[in-house]
Amino acid sequence: MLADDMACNHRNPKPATVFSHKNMELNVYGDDVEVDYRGYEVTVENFLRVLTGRLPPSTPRSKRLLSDDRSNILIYLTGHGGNGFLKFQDSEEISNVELADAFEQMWQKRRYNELLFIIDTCQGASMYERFYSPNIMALASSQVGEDSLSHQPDLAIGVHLMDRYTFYLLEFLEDIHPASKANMNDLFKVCPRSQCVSTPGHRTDLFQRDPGSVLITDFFGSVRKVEITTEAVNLTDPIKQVEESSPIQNILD
Amino acid sequence: MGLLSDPNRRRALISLLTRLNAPICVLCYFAGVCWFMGLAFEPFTLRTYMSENAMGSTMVEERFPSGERALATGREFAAHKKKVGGMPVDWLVKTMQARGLEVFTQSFSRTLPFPDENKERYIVKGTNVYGILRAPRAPRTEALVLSAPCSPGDNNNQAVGLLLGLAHYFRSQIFWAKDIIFLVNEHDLIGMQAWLESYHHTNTTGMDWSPLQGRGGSIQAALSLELSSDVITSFDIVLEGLNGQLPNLDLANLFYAFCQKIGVLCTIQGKLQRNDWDSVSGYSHAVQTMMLMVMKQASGRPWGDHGLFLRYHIEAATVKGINSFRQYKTDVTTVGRLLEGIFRKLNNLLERLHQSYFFYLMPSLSHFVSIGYYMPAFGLLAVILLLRALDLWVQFANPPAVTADGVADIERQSSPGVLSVLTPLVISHLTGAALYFLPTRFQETAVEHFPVSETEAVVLTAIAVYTAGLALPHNTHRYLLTQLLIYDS
Repeated sequence: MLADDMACNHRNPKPATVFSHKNMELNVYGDDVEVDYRGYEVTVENFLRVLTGRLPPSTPRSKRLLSDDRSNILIYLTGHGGNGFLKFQDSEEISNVELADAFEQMWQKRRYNELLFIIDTCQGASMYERFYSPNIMALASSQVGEDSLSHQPDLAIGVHLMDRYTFYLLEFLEDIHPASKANMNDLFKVCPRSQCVSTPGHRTDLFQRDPGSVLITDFFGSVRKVEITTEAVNLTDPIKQVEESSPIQNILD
Repeated sequence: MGLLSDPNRRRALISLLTRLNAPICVLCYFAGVCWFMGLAFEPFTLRTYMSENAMGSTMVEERFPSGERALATGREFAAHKKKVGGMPVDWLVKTMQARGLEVFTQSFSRTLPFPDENKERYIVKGTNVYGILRAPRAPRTEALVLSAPCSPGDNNNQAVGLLLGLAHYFRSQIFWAKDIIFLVNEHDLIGMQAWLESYHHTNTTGMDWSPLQGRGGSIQAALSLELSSDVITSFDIVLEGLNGQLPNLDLANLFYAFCQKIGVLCTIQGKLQRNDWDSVSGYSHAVQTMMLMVMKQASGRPWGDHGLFLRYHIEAATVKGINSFRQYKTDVTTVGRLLEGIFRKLNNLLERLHQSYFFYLMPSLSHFVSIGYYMPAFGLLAVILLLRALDLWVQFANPPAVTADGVADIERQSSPGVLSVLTPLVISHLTGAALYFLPTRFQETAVEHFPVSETEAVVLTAIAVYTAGLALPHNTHRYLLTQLLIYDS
């Protein structure tokens, strides 16, 4: 969900790109980015509907979460926030209570197996204080009472390109490949106070497994668990079935 | 009982009012003047700050390279201007087209109310030339204007040269989200008014102008440039417009921010910043700057070509390059960079400038006084009128000469009759109408019969009406007194 279209903004001197650093090495708006909700569709209501699955039947599959009780979900939020809220679209906010209740609804309907929640806003730790559903791990870029700061400005464009926590998190994750064995404890160490100026925080009490045993690739990199089964499954020949049922084949012959 | 409904308390209040009226009025007057003068004292002012979030804190690195080429273009413009003896329309059209702008011209003519003393002409004719740089990717809904006047003689050649140089540089950038209109107007305010009227499809002055063939979107901000020398020592900003209207303070803040960033000396009212606010000379410097701004607003005339934009709710300012005897000179490339930076910031705007103040006074470029702070001074002066009016009303109700006994006073609330109030009202309206219509109506008759010029005729008619009106208060006062005596008896 992207509320502002920065890549295609008329003022972007490098159109269709969003770089993480002014050296223009990494284009984060590359070909593998798929935006499902953009512009004015990014509202608190739509976000909560996507999470809880309460979407109208006409909603296309690309705009649905499509998760079940075996799915691990990654939620990453960034923007302007404060103590207990995140700002959406200049006119709305989502509160930490709403978010916690949405996650509980998801748990009741078994819409997730494990959930990783990362937030990069000012006073981000306030957003995960109210969670009460099991199997949620949360990371935030700053504690309550602290501001999250942005990284470096690009003087050719005139804006700061990325926030500090996100920048260092991205740097860390770029080194993770699908076979990596790095665990969550390494993720908690990303962007210490010396780099981030704010103090990142995390919450693991709701998570049933020990964070040291949770691989980062459980949530990142589209690494799916493969289950080997020893049972045999009989597959009927699909072509024969069609020949038996439709007389059209005879005409074609 | 309340303060005003209790008759005893009311009587006490009224007697206080009538007794102390003169001292309270003097005190209010003194307090009002002191308050106003105190506004220039630096601890009572606020530092200027950028209110618009879209024009935020990050600065862009300006890269305008070709100041020398701009000066060469300016010299070419001067040569062509001298050859044609006015505005070199064809050369300007050709040059703007060569820079990739959509060029249009507009011709206008205006009949002057008084003939021009210098040239004995009644009609002023001219042509405006403007080129539109279309935003590469944006819809054509918003525009910014950069204008330079085409002045006779050696003035403002470098301004037109810089305008064309910036047009060439801006054309090669792809990040413009608004159309930029580069306008060269002839005859200063007359040409600018013709252009604005045609752009907005209004005709308030009754001028003749040809309609504009090309148009940008709604104009968000405008900058008028005056530059008459190859190097400058300081950069002045002029804010006062028609009828004393001012642009949004954010425009001045933007200018000041860029002056600080680029390192150019910047002035307002032609006066520099001073750091010694606690000394007498520093304070008087600030007072002078503020009072100059007040006078310029009071005169009502626009002090730059930008002044006419303000009526259309377009924030505009004039920036003037000044070359005086100072050691450190700034070249045209730096001036171009400053303008480039200002335009890039204005480019980021999503809405019109509205976050900052529209009514303010500036004792210096980095400090301002908003209307909330200078209005109480005028309020105190207006309170004097209220007090005097109340005093007169009380005197009418209870004339102090005729007091038989205390109780009877309160009963006799004889209000003056309608006729006695209506008479001065009607007379003053008639006087006002006379002052408004007579000078212009009788201008020709006066010139025919009296040996005066048109401008003198207007002024003398106004003075004549004033002189006739001098007799009026005396007469109405006498009339009113006779009315009162009739009531009393």
